[in-house]
Amino acid sequence: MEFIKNFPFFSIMVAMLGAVVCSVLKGRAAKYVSFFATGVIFLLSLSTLVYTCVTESSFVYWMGHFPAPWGNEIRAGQTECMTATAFSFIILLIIVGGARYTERATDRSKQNYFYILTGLLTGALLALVYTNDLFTAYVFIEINTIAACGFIMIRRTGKSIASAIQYMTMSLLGSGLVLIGITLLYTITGHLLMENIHDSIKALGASGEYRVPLLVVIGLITVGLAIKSGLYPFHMWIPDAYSHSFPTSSALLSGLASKGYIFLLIKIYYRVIGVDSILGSHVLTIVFICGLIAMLMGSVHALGQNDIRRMCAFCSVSHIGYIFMCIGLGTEAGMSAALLHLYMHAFTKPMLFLAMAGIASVSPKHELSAEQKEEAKKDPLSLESQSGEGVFTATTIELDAFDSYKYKDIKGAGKRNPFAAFTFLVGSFSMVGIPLFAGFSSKLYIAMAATGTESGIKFWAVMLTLALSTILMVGYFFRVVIRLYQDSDLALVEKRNRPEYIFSLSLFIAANVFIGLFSGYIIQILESGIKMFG
Amino acid sequence: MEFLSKYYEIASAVLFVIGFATLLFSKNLIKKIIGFNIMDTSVYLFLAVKGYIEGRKAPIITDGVQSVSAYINPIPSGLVLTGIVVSVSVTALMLSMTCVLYARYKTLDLDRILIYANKEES
Repeated sequence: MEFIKNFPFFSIMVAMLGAVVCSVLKGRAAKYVSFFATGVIFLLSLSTLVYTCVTESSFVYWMGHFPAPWGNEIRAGQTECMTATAFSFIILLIIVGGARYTERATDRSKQNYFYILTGLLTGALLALVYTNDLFTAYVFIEINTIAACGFIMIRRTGKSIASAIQYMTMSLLGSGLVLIGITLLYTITGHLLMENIHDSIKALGASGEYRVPLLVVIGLITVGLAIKSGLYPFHMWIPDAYSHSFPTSSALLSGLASKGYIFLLIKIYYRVIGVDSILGSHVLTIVFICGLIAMLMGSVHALGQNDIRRMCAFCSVSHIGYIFMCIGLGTEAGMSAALLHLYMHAFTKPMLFLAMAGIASVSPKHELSAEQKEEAKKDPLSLESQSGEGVFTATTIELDAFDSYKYKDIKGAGKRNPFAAFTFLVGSFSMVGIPLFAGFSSKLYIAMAATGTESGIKFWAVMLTLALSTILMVGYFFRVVIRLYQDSDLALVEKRNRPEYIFSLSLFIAANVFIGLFSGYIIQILESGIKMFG
Repeated sequence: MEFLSKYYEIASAVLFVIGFATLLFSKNLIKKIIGFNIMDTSVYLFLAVKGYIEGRKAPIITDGVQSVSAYINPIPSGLVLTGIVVSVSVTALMLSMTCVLYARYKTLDLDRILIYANKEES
C-alpha cells in the first residue's frame, strides 16, 4: 500500500505531461489524450481518497525522497483527496460535454491549444490542492492564472482579449500581494514548508514577537487570494471574463479556476498560520463582512442582467461570497460548510453554463449584417493574417452571432431543446436550494454552522443574508426558467443534442442529486480531514 | 534612526507601492506591464537582501572551505530565480495580448479599448 502514496504526485505529472503531449497533436487526438489523462487522474485521486478514508490518515510525500529542509513536499489527506477527485471528475465531464463547443469556437488547427490549457489548469489545481510548500503554491497560482487567461482569450474577439487583460491585471495584483506575503513569512520564520512555518509561528506566538508583521502577512495573503478568486469588492473581472469566453471555457473558469485559490486559503489558514492566530486577528471578520456583502450584491446585480450568461456570472460572485462568509465564521463546521458549498458550486455552475449553451443554440438566428461580415473577414486580430500566413477565418464571430444568450431570445427554448432546458432547471433548483439538490444541503450546513458561532450578531447576519439572497436568487433564476417554458411563435424544431453532451449533463445532474442526498457522508469526511489539518 | 539604515528594505517597499499603484491605476497597457515588473522586482530585491549576510559568499565550495559560516543560504537566491521565470512568462503573455489589442484598436488606452470592444459586441 506504500505505492499509493505516489499517486498525488503522479496525478500532477500526468496532467502536465498530457498538456505537453497535446502541444504536438492535432485537435481530435489532443482531445482523446486530454480525456484519457484526466480519466487517469480521476482514478488516481479516487483511489487515494479511498486509501485515506479507509486508513483515516494523511501522509506527506517527499518529492524525490529528499527529506524536509532540502526537498519539496506533497501532503494528501481526506480533504485534499476529496477535492482533487471532485475537480478531476468535473474537468472530465466538461471536456466531454463541451467538446462540440470547443470544436466550434476554435480553428481546426488550433483545437489542441484548448487541451493544453486544460492540462495546465488541471495540473495547477491539483498542485494547489496537494502542495505542502508555500513557494510551490505561488508558482502554481501563476500557472493557474495563465491557463485561465488563455481560456478567456481563446475566442480571440476584441472583447474577450480585453476582458482577459482585465482579468490578468486583477490577478497580478493578487499574486503580487500573495508573493510579498509569502516572502515576509519566509523572512520571519525561515521556512517554506507548511509544518515548519506552523511550528515557528507557534513559538513566535508564545514569545509574543513579530505580532504586527504576522498580522500583515495574514492580511496580504488573504486579500491576495480573495482578489484572485473574485470576492465582492474585487469582482469586476468576473462578469466580462465568464460571459465573453465560449461555453466550455466559461464552465471551466466559473467552476474550477477560482476554487483552487479558496482551497489554498483554507489550507494556509489551518496548516500554516493556525486557527488560533487567525481568530486572534480580525482578518476573518473582514472576510465575513465582504462575504455577506457579496452574497447580496452579486444577486442584486444578477437581477438586472438581460444576458443569461452575465446573470450566471453575477450569481458566481454571490456564491463566492457564500464560501468566504463560511470561512469568515472561523469554526470547523464553517470550514466544512464552505468546502461543501465549494463542491456544490463547482458541480452546478459548469452544468448551468453547458445547459445555457444548449439553450442558446436554439435561440432565433440573427443574420449578420453585410457590414459585420466584412468586418469579420478582415479581422485584424490575427497577426498571422497581416503576415499573410494562414487567415483567421470569420467562423468564430459568425457562429457566435447565431447563439444568442439574450433574455428576449430564449423564450420557448424549453420546447425546442427540452434536455438543455431541463438541465438548466435542475441547475437553478440547486443554486436556489430546493431539497434533493446539492444547493439545499450546502445551505443547510451553512445555517447549521451559523448556529454554532458564539456571537449572536454573526448568527443573525448569516440567517438574514441567507434568506434575502435566496429570495433574490429565486427572482432571477425562475424568471429565466419561466421564460424558457413560455410559448413562442418560433417554429417547433426539436434540436437533437449530441450523445456525449447528454451523457455529461446527465452525470452532472446525478452528481448534484448525489451531493444533495449524501451530504452527511461528505461532511463527515471533510470534518475529519480538517481536524487532521491542524 | 536605526530604521533608516535599512535602506534596501525601504527601497523595496517604495518600489512595491509604485509598481502596485501603476498596475492598478494606469490606463496605458504598457505602463501596466512596467508596473507589474517593478512590483515583482521589488519583491526579488527584498528576498535577495534578506538572503545576503555581509562577508559571506555564494555556496560554491572554493579553496576547500567547508564551514557553514562561510556561505549564505542558497534558497532565497533560488526563489528569486524561480520568481523571475514566473514574471517573465507572465510579462510575455501580457505583451502578446497588448500587441493583439493594439493591432485591432490602434490604442493602448484600456478604457478606450473597452469602449470600442463594447460597441462591437452590441
